[in-house]
Amino acid sequence: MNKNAGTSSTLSKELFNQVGRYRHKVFVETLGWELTTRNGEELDQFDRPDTLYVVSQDDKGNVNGCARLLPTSQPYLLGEVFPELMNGAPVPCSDDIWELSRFAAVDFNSRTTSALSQFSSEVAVKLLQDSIAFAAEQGAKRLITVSPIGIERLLRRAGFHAHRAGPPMIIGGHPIFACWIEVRQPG
Amino acid sequence: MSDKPYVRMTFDAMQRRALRHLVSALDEDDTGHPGDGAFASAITGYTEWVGEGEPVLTMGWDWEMRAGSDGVALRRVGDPRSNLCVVMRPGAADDIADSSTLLKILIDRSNWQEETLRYLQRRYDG
Repeated sequence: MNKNAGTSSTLSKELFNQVGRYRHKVFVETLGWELTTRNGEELDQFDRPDTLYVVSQDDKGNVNGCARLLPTSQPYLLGEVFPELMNGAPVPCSDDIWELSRFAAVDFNSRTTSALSQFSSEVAVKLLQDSIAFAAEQGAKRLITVSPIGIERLLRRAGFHAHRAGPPMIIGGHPIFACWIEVRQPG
Repeated sequence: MSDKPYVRMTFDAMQRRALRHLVSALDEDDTGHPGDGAFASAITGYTEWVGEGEPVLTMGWDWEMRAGSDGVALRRVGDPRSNLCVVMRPGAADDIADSSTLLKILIDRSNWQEETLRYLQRRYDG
């Protein structure tokens, strides 16, 4: 697996376009989420010039995982769209709390992976570890994520401490929730 | 930033809280491709419950379904997932491992299987 991390301008244009198409394939075509799309790519208002991405590619260069990182001191998905998932607590707003969103690790080119499973493989665990490490390099001490509840299992498998911020809510037929992830500092 | 991103509660207080079923589902079948070989797989899934009243409590856990002499039965597997840190005494130190053990005791003492099976039947029998 090859990892790339950076902003839309530091990733190559080709790779960033691949990420948009990959997200469309996972979240819109496979999971059926009703999201903003443009030219076959899934991008929304939180895909800004300062947004950070972690991208996983297989040996042939195909994207097989992606994640998005946003500081909660700037507008972010939970704070703007799903504040009710905090169960009445104020939404985080801090340079040392980052949001992990649009996490997916579906390998569409692997014959042994279910295309319906968003968090299915060793790629998912590695991508999660890389994403949290990259957030830590930016100064994150804790992450908050808006995710389907399946990510809790993945966090456990990857050895991270996670706590729910509140109960899951059924949105579009899918239970999603907000989850705190404790970040171990580098070194 | 709060150091405690969870609801702290004693075991006694937890025992007095009623839990309401929220959602349950079967896991996707991800046992491999035809031709990869035969798999003996159990039916597995998850269930989600919320506590009545304030503060809001949320707990979820995985289960497996086994056939027995009295029909199918659900059994919790693995650690529960929650927004809780359960302690035995009010002054006890927070310990997530101990909390997980106490939550497992609470879950295994409760009759969650009946409601979960009813829900699964409604959900998957169309």
